Formats: sequence, structure tokens, C-alpha cells
Amino acid sequence: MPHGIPDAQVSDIRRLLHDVNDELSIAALQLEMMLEADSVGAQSRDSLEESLEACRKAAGALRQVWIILGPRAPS
Amino acid sequence: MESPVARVLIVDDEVRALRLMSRVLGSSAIACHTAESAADALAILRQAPDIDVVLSDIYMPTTDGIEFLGTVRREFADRPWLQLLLVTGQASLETAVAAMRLEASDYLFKPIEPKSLRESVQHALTRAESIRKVRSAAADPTGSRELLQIADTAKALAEDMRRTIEQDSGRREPAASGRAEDTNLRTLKLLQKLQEARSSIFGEAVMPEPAWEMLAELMRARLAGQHLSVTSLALSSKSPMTTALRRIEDLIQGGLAARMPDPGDRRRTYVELTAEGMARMQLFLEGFARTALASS
Repeated sequence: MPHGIPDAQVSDIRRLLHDVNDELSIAALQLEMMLEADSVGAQSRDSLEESLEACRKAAGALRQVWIILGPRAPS
Repeated sequence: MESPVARVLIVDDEVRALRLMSRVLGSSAIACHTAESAADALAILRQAPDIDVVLSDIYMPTTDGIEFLGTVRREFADRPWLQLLLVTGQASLETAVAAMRLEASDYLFKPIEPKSLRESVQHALTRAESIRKVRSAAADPTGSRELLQIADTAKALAEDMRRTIEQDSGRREPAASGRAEDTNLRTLKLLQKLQEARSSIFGEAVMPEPAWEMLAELMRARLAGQHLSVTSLALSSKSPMTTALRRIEDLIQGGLAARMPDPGDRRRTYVELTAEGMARMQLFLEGFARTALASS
């Protein structure tokens, strides 16, 4: 338990992290699909790209949290 | 217009993810089945023998993706062409080991990029198609004969390469000049036959890899005692020059080929197969011969 979180809570945290990542993935994929469409104007495109970048950064931060939590205990 | 047969099954308990991934693949004319649970997915697989690729999330609250894919492998062992693609949120040793055990063709990390999804699925579809073709060729008496011929060709080539490697390493006296020429000529003919047979069975669309064409040409040149310039080698790949030059660099970086200066003309450079390249080609041919014999 190098992170100081009680083991009993770690699996709940993992589940929540997965849920957050799933939501982020849906948002990112949706944004990517919108960006692929030719009909997006320049201003909207900038906003979409910024949003996508924010999703990617958030996903990167999540990966860091997973690393801190360490590998899942064998079931 | 008739809709294409769905050859991909996407499994995810999140309906929005299913819808989006279907849309991404649909935009590349890849039709999909979707399932929200392992039970639904297995039912679809039982009813749809056309499915070639199963793309499944690993971590689902109600379904263990790894267990589900393991069941797919066991229950559909008679469909060895089935390609499994794993989707995961977290890169871990656990995922990598699971992917290897399941002989997964790839795994994708969330958030998935549409480009990676399309490429990965397309690659898996191509692999499945080539396995199906080899199996149907093996089931057909004509195809079976063709496979046996290729296996014989591969075996003979591997044997020629073994002799060449032994001669190079001085473990055996070089063959008499006339005999060596005969062997080289036979090798060249065998190699051409192998390439023709490979194209007829797999089709150019399945393996349009210029690196393979150039490796084969390097092997032929090495066995025939010829030198190949970069330009000749690039032309032999039947690919655009820029692509061929990139692939030559890949072969060199990978240690399979090396540049050799021409002692007679410092401005010219040859490309040769390295000892490592020769050994790998020999392994490949021996393996290919075994696989072809086993499947026929």
C-alpha cells in the first residue's frame, strides 16, 4: 500500500477510474468523428480540437493515477 | 444496393461506445454486429459464421472481457481465422499476457483514435481472409496440390540456403563451380515459382509488402553470387521508388541487409543480405514448408 489508500478502497477507486476513462473515451471519439466531418467551420474546429486535447490530457493524468495505484492484485 | 456482410463483432456494455465504434468503422464501409454482453456476443457468433473479427472491451462491469474471449477461442476452435482485438483503458502486463494467451491480433487503448481503430480492424480482416483462403485451398484437392508444391519449393530453398550458409562459414568445401551454378539456377527457378504460387494463393492485395519482394531478391542474388545496387533492388520491389527506399532502410536498420561499398567504384553501393537475414529467411522457408504441409 505505497500510496496510503486502504486496500479495501483501491478496487472501488479502480472501478471509478475505469468509468471516468470510459466517459472520456466516448467524448474523445465523438470529438474525433466531428473533426473528421468536412462541414465543421474553422472556429468550431478550433474549439473541438481544444476539447479533444483536454480529453487526451485527462486520459494521460488517469494513466498516472493507475501507475500510482500499482498493478491489480491477482484474483 | 446490397449491404455488405458484417464481418466484425463489437462487444461493449456501453451502448454509446458501441454506436460510435460502429459509426467509425461504417464510415470505412466495414459493417458490424454489436453486442452489449458476452451472452449476446456468443449467440451472434453462433448464428453468423461470416464474422472474422471480434473487438471486445476487456474491462466491463458485468462481463470479464478476457474470460469472454477465452470462451470464444474454445467454443469456436474450428474457426482459427477469428481475429481477436482487445480494447483496454490501461496498459498493463496483465493485458499483454492475456493478449498473448488469446493470440490476439492487436490491442487498442482508450481513448481510441478512429484511425487506429480502422487500421487495426482492417489489418485483422485481411489476416482472417488470408487464413480462410489457405484453409479453403487445403480443403480443395487442386489447392492442396498447390500448397504441397509450395512446401516442396520452400523446403528446397531452405536446403539451398543452408548449404550457402555452411559454405560461407567455411564448415564445408565450396561446391564445384558447375554444380554451384546448377544449384543457383534451380534456386532462382524455385524462388520464382514460390513467388508466383504465393501470389496466386494469397493475392497481391493480401501481401503487397515490398520488403518481402526485396528480401527474396536479395536472397536470390546472394545464392546466385550477384551484387545488387540500391536502384536494382528498389526496382525489384515493384513499388514506388520512395516506398522501396524506405523499406530498404528498414531492412538495414533491422539488421537483415547491409550496404557494401563497391571496391571497383567508390560511388556505387551494393545491398546484401546479412548472415542474420539469410538465417531468418531460411527459418521462414522451413517454417512455411512445415505450415503448408500441416494444413494440407
